Amino acid sequence: MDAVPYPWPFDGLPAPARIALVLVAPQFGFGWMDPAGQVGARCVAAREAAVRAGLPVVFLRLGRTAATPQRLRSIPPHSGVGWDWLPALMPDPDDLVIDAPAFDGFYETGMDAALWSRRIRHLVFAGFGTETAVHSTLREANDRGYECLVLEDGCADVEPALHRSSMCSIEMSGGIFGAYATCEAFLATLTKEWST
Amino acid sequence: MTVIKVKADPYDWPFEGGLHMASTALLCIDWQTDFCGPGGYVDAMGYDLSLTRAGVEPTRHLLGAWRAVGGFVVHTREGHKPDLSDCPANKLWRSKRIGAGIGDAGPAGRILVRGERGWQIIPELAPLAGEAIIDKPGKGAFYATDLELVLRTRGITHLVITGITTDVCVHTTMREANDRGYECLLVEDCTGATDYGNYLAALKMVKMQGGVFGAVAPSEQVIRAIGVE
Repeated sequence: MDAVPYPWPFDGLPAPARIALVLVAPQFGFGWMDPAGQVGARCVAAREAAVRAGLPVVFLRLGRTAATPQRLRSIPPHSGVGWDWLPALMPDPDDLVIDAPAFDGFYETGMDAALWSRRIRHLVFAGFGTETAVHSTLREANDRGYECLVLEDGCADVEPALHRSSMCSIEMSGGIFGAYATCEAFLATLTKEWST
Repeated sequence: MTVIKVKADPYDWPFEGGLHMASTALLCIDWQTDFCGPGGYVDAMGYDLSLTRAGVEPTRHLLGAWRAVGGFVVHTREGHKPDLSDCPANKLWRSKRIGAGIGDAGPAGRILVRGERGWQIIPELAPLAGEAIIDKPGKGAFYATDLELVLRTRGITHLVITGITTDVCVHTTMREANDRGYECLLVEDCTGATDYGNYLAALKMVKMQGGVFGAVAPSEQVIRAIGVE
């Protein structure tokens, strides 16, 4: 599909079961990044389209544990309401839930093992926040050889003024971390390729 | 006892307690010809080398001061095995597409390959005996390396970070370190990116939310603090 800076993925779309939509931290504690609810709505749309097309959906949940460094204050404690899922984005029993103690969805989590066991090498990212958990998880996925796509308008920013740079950093050097596209473009691709 | 801190933004560093050289490492990330020298990977992509070179002289100065007080230094190098068996297919594909194919012959030797001239750390910032060198296949210095083992063995809990590029390898490494509980300080004049706007944004990203990834300071403030310590 069309993406910046190259048509994604580099090796052509695999079977839908081999592409995961990774919803990053769709939790109450990060809802403030999306006051108008637009990102949330796009995540819902992406999730529904992914399910229809047969893509597995991963729900990444950030939560304070003993492994969480004290200074990472924005990681919510499990006991607080900030940790809970946003109501429109609660996982179903069949969805994959990954709990992370810090910003990177791979650090001290079952993410890599879960994806590997399903032979998933292609990831599509959306969620909260662009510069923090999305970017950290994207970078670690990329270093591990995952082929990544970021839904640029499906990510909520900590600082909206930094959004352009967050995307620009992805596209430099031929797509150093992968590629990005709009949610609409992603949905159109799912419909075109795997409409049921 | 005076608590020594580095005057930094958005908080005087480190967050808790003071600066202790015994548990602090100066991290020099990817100061390789491939990223800031003629004929290397970044040059082959057509980017302005002056941006990634901008931090060389301040880093050389900071390195000198750090070494003068006996501080521990860790250098990293990004690069791949000559047979490219540790280079992910998409990384290789993207690099070829932009005209800087990893492993391809260039003016500084094969691009991003261990042992080649372009892969070497530039002479101004060359490692000395007793300093650690970490070779990495990715952008993050913790992934698939022995960096954590080296830091743990030495009792390092705090990192003062220089290197290139600010938004890629430096940021990825700082994020990894931060998640793992290392207290990090990014030295703003000892780093640079392939795009100046991305460099500025990368600094701002560290400072958001009261310093989500750590703090930022100019080298002058670091040198001042280590002189006192």
